[in-house]
Amino acid sequence: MRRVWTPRRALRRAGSSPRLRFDAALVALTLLGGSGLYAMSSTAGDRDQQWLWSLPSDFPTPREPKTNPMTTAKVDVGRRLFYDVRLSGNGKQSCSSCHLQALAFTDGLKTAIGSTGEAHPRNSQSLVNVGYQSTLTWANPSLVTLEAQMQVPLFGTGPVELGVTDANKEAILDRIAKDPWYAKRFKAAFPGRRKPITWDAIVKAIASFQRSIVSARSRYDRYLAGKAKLAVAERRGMKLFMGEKAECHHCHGSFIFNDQVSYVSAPLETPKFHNTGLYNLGGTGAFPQPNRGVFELTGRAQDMGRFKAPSLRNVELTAPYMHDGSIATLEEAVDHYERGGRLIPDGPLAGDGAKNPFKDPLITGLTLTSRDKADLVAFLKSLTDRAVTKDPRFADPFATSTPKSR
Amino acid sequence: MFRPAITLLPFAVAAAAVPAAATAHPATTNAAPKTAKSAKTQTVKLRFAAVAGNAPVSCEAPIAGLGTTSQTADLKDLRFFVSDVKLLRKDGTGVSVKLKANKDYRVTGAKGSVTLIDLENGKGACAEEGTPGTNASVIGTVPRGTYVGVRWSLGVPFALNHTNTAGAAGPLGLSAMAWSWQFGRKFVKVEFADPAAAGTQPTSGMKMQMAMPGTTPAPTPAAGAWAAPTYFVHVGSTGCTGNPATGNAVSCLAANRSTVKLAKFNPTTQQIAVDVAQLVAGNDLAKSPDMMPGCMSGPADPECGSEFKALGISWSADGKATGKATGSQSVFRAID
Repeated sequence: MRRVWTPRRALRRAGSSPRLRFDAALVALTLLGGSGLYAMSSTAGDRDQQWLWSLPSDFPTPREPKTNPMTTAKVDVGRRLFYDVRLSGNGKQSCSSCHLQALAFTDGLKTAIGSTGEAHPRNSQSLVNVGYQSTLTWANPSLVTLEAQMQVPLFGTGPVELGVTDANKEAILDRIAKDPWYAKRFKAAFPGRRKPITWDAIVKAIASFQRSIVSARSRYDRYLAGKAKLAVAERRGMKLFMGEKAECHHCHGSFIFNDQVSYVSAPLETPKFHNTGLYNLGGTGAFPQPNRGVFELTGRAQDMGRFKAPSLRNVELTAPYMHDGSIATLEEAVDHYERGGRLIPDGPLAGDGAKNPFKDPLITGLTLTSRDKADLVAFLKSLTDRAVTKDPRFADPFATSTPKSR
Repeated sequence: MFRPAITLLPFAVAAAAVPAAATAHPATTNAAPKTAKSAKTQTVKLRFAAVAGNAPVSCEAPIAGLGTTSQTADLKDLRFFVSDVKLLRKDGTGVSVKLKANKDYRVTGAKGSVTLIDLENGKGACAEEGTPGTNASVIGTVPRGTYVGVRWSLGVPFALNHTNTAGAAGPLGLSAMAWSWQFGRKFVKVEFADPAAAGTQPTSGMKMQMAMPGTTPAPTPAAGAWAAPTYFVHVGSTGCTGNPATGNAVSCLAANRSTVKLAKFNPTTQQIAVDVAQLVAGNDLAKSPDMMPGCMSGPADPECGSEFKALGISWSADGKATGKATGSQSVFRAID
């Protein structure tokens, strides 16, 4: 059950001794005047690398890889790198080019465009609470850490994203090293290294920043904390969502509204992937290449069209939807699940997704009134956390300081 | 009694060992003084040579007569990993080659060892992803003896494969050999370019199927004669699953590591030919029946059948292949 938030419960750190930072965090809380749902972590100064998780009251402690424990210094370096276009081969894109804070770290496009203009086959996903995701990207059981996932945008060639190659990777490190801010901070973030600015350090810093993006300050969260009321439509939508009439909770039932989460002492579960009947090319069950989901990795028929259920937190901000951005609005998404699969009547993608033989057995179609559907959408919009889109801890550090150096 | 194919006298062993060490590791030669131990071992240098049929190939000259439709192609890349190398005694037993340390092309350590054979020089058609350096040899030592053949695994050992490219040592840090979609490495990277499309297309040559009818631009047609400007042969493990609790890759459905055996091979006098014509003999380089031209090891990739057969890896069109070595390959052979 959801518990009421208290400062004491919110102050959990990865280490064993939360008391050391408790006073400072309490000061920060006082300064916030209780308006935020949880404390800012920036109470720990640059000289104190000990990371203090500041978590929503019902969120478990995120996992940190043994080889990359969280520190404030790494998070700081990672934040700047995340927004730094110097990190791409041609200096045109940063991580933030496809993960905009204002859109809950998505890009608003159907599918992403890489630094060289090449089209990506998949829709950019939100990074809010990404540290809790068991697997990364849309359909890849092999990518289980942010450090591993980052190899894809950095070095991937099919398609090119940031376009880091063997030919330019030393030059990119030189660009970073020339920035005095980095020269100083990398040393602090990666102490004891002969050469602090390396690709290994860059990956670890960005992953640390991404893990720090934990937030649950939606109206729904405030409602659970007893601090806000949901409208009638939203409450009705919530009951439909959580109940057996709309059954959304089967795949979107976790604290981040998906069905594969990982955290400290989480039960060991095989991450789940689902075919929701978006396609059925020629009645064969096939999805269009290269968007055939886990099938692309395994070649097993039962994996055709299987993708991850995304977190629905901030879903109002993350349109368009699905792995390929092929559903434009929340209303259409609800229609898709009501029908139990999408019918594409003609063209190269023709087929009735509802009859896809590899479809998840839970996607059977729903009987919903137009009011039901509107209420479901109203509830989904109550999951919007505007605070995370403006939180200075996650904001572009170049926006106010040195925009020209981007 | 048998008549050994190669008999290395102690004198010849020492003579072979010193120049090889001096060439590859000028800095470490002095640190390894001759001892009784070195007299018990001999240096091995397995030399690979890129060919198409009987002709040498390079990045700088088009190769004629490739594939089922006899296409002319530029060689765009030719690199592969070799591990678990064993020289074979006359009785068939294998003796492990202990790799010599080298920071650029070899990884040696407790978790395993591997050599990158790099037969591209970063020139000509290889300029895009290639590197100026090359490495044609596996260099190490074996106990002194008589060897008549060689066997090796084509790929990176599992314990080394599923690691971060960023920060990895030696050839495992190459981004070109990263196999990020399976969090591993490309074991084999051979690529051909359509000479008529040179410089006109984006890197991957990937073509998109439309996500929704009429809403996305149609695929960009290649400027050259082929369906796509580049034909890829990328071999690596597929169907890999990580463990979210530990952050490690725990298993792959298809390992896709070939075991190559040359039963008759003289390591001192012969080289190992890497025949790119044999590799693509069963496919049409100008066609791309699926979205990705060539074989990217996808378990249902229609072009992988003949290439995996040529490399000696089990494959079937239904995606149920185990990716085990078949023991029979046609790409590598001993040449004088």
